[in-house]
Amino acid sequence: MSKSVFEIKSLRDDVLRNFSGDYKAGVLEKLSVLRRDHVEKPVIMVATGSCGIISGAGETLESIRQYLDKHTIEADLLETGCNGFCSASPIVSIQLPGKKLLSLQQITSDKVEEMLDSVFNGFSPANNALGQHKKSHLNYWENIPYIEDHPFFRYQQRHLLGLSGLIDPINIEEYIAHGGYKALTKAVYYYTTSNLCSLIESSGLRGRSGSGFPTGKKWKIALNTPADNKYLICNADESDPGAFMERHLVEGNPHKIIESVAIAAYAISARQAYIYINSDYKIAIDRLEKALEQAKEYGFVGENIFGSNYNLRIQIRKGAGALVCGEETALISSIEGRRGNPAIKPPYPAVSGLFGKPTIVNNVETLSNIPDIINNLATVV
Amino acid sequence: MSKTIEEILENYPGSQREYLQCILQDIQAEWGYLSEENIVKVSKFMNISSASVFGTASFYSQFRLSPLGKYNFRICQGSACHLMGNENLLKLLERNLKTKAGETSKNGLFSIEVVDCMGACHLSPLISVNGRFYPQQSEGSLLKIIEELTNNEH
Repeated sequence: MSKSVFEIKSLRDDVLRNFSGDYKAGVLEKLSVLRRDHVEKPVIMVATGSCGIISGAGETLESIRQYLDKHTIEADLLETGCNGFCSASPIVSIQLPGKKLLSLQQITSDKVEEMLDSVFNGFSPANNALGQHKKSHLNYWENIPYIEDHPFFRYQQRHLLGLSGLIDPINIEEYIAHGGYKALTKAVYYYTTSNLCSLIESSGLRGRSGSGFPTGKKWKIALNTPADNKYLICNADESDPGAFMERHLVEGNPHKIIESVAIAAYAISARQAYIYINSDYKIAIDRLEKALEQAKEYGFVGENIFGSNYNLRIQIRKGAGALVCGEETALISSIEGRRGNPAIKPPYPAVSGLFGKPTIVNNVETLSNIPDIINNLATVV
Repeated sequence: MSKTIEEILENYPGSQREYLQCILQDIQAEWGYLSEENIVKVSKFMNISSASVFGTASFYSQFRLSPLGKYNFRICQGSACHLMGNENLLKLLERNLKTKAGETSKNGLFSIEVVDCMGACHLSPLISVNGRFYPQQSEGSLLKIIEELTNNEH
């Protein structure tokens, strides 16, 4: 894992709890380094999500490592998630000092030498170029189109997958430098649980798992049901044949999932949250576990989050291959250690769910919208 | 095997029912399947009947009650692979490996698992053997793989 740029306390006080926009000397520069606005040495990112690995990205990564050793080139080599264009796998993105980030497609291990020979000599291999990323202060690669103009990406507004493929998924500081955990900070510092539920309700967010139920309205039901314990469950058990968009979210930016879960749990006053994820998603689970450890270390999860009175414990649970456990009552039954039999509703889980307590089950994609809503719509009161 | 079942159960003090699935997953991660002996030990640990443990385990397709074969075939049942003919490939596997999906051949060499979409639809139909991926399989190419593995054993 990469070296920390910030001390934890400084990150919390100078970055996250700073809503004035005035930063101490050196803080903006450190954030810029983490975002790779400029790089001092080459950075090579290989998309090693599941689709990438199946296409040979593991071998590509190894070949790149060997090339760098052989030519004694100093470069940062990172593994990322996929940007969503899986058929272009293996995807390799390279940032040279002073030049725009360049993404290349179908770079199997046999193409690595030719690719790196070209790139380090200032030329992009035209056949394999996916596109260069517009960052206006960096120099242009000749004859290479912008990835933002690519037919696949052109009409996308990348709210959920925006950082996937661009950041190290298990580097919490990179996520923070791109605005991560700011929404959780705002929520805990500036919103009562009731105001937070109202904010999400007024945003119009609806469940993405197929039900379309208004998320904020569901949260309010759980919030307003008296109980000594409440639970938040993030449903990442994706088992629909041919579906793997939720896997992308977790593999590409697991910290966003953790932040979203923490905000939702806070909103309903839950002290225990579960992330229930398909057990076959090994890469996603591995990254999520590492991200959760980091989140604990930095105090975003655990006792007295941000020095508040709020405690939250997040457990990762692995689904054991039953499609029906995507349905909320069956999922709850599974977490309780039973057969995943669905139950009759009412009572709805928001009133009586896990262990008979108010429980909110939200789809992982639904939850992933929460930080953007708070960051864009919220005014600090 | 690096862990004993006792070491696994130690991670779950309080033996609460809610951790049953986690315990079974840890056992399967260690041994590759759930043996009758381990199911009985778990039931004693949780103070519930072994029928109850078995009943829970049998609900979930992840849990195996027999060991994996030396060569474990995983065939993707995602939409793209389905359209590209994975049903015929599964029948071919069952015929030639002499075992059904979810089971292991009598000689312990081969087992077949049908799995959810692996997310490499542009490489369909997709099969993996012991974690190694074989994209865009046809009946001919799959037969070659089986032949190669069988020859390895002679």
